[in-house]
Amino acid sequence: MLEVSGLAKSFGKQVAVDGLSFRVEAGEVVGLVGANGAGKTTTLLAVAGVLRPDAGTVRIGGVDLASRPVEAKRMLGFVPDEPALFDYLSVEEHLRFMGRLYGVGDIERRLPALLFEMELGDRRTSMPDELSRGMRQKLALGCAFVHDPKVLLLDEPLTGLDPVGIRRMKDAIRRKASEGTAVLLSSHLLVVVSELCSRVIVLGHGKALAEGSPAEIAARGPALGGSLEDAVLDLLTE
Amino acid sequence: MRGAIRYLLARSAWNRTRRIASEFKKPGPRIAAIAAVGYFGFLAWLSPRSGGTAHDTQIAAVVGALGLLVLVLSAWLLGTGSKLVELSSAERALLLPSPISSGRVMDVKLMRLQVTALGNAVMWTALTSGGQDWGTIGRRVVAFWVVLTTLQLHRIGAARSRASAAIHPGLRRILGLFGIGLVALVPIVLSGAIRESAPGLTAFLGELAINPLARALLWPFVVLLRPLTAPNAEVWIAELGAALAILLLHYLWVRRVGPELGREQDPLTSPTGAPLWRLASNGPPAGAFFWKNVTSLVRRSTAVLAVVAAAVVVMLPVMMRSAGRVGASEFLGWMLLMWSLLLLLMGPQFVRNDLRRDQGMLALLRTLPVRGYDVILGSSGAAAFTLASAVIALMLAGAIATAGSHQPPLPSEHRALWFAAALLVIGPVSLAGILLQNAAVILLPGWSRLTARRGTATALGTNLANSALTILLLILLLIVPCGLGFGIWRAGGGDAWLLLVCAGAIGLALGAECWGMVRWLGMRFEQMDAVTRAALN
Repeated sequence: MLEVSGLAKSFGKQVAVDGLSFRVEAGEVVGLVGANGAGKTTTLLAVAGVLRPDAGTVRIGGVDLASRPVEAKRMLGFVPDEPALFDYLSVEEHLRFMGRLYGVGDIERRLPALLFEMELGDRRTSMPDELSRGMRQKLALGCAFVHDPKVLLLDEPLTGLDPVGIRRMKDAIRRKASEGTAVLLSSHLLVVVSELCSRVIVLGHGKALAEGSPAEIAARGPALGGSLEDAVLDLLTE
Repeated sequence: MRGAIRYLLARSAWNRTRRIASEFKKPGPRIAAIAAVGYFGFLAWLSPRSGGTAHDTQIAAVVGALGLLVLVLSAWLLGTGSKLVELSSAERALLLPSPISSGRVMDVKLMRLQVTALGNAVMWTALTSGGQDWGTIGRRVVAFWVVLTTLQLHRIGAARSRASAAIHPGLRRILGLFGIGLVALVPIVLSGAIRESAPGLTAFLGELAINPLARALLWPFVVLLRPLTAPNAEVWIAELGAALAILLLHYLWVRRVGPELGREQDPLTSPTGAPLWRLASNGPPAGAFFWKNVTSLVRRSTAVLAVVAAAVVVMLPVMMRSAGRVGASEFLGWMLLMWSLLLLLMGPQFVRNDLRRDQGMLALLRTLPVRGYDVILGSSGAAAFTLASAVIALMLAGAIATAGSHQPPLPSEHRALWFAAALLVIGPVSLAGILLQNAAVILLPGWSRLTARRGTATALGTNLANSALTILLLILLLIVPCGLGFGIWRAGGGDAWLLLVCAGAIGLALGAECWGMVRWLGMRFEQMDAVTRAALN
């Protein structure tokens, strides 16, 4: 569903992503982990079309992002770590606006269900500055879900959420995956990654240091039976 | 505790100065600073070298008092002072929980504002003290400082009173009635002065200086401004006492009014109100961006108030004309025509409900399944629509007010044709100006971000350079369309009806150039990195 091949991105002399390749199949949840500056967010932004890669290709549902960006992005949902919302549009206007841009013809019929799912039913006319951090995150998620994306990109999706919010976000990610959505997420919370992800890519200096299921990565740790955290720390300090 | 606050103020001032100084190593801020210094140098060079007659001083005092009245009214109506003492996230996290009283925190914020007040006092003195001796210059700096600090305090007091009113409904009613009364009083006083005065602006201002109702309305402002025009040190000291008393009263008011610092919320400054129309589920993506950006304007209280103010200004000459004050109506009419032209040229700098408003959202815009030209066309189209509407409203009001006038430069014959021709050109010219301003967001994002630092010399310089460049490029863009229009005019023999054809041709040719710009900027938008490396770490 998502195919990244030879992705490279530099900012001046600083190499952020260096020939990265991976795939995320339908129904799979893949986690990108690594230290700060390892290239997680750059990778997600390049896959989302925000950054223009220096080299490599990104294919979403078989469609090349560089040559057919509109068709490719129609299948994509992206939630940044900081909810990006227009401060002058209300909750339901955000969803309507996104629905129109993603060509969701029956957005009016879908609105009540979306608002209910995001628990924003009683805040439909609220402006972003009237919402808590968690509610803003839910609205950003609602905007990404509005068109039932085939590929979902989540950058630090649990940042700033309360325990209830974290549980609901994890449930939402699992549900989307079970419906056939390919999910690529980045997180520093390795416990959450091991809980949610079927596969993990450990990034260091823009390259994949290791790739496999959480159990496979953990098995590479310093001691047999070590945790994912031990293994990732071991890889990053090598 | 005082030591800690002194340390905070001194270190933050020093670090801020160092940061600004280090920024000037980059070409963008350096060009902006040169533009700002050049602009102020030019204004200082233009400033009058002599004091003028007593009548001139009286007129200047009335003009200054009217200016302060407008600023005070806008502070109450718009809450423009709320940002002045807004706590930063660091101040919220570190100062509020610390054992410092909220009054002391307010003092910290007010002390920080003194940098702006002192800088502006020096700048205004430089602009108004050509050929004066050092004693007068020193006295004027102090006088300007008193005026600017009092105004600053008034804006803060008004914003904090509004925040209190948001919590206490009784106070809200009282402030609402006070505001309505004040707003109603201004046109009553002005129309009374217009009735009594002889034709002409100077006569009208002279009438305001002696009209009892106008004098009562402007009295506090005149008292505040008197030290500025004091002819010698003795008079200055006497006048300064009253002005300082007003300043002190404002300080005490600001210290006492409003909810606890950091807890205030002014719902009147939050975006509110219904959009002009509901976004349809289906349609071109550019239409969605157009709707979003028009909605963003409608939800800004400043914009709503600007529309109300513009409506009053537009209606005024029409009412005057119907009341038989033809001379005054004509004068205002010519002013409106001049403003419409100025707005057309300078408006792209100020009407910003386009990509400049969404500069922090470029990353999100890039994730959307739309072509770059849709984003550019929808965003810029909304701002161009806003600008063209304002220009057309001013021009039509001016046209009605000057109907029958035989003053140049407009010919007395075929006036309707001239105005109709202008209508055909205003839309494309507005779009071209707005597109040129938006080009900076895409082609020079770092430069464009400098304009966001409102109130700084860098922002002013950037805006000045942007305006100058926009006008220059606009002239270049107009060369081919105007050449085409002129060719048609010559070929058709110069008949009056050809005005419409020429204007239509100019509008179409400029529209075609705009379309080319939209496509090119859209392509560049799709190719740009919407976030910087610095933003990623």
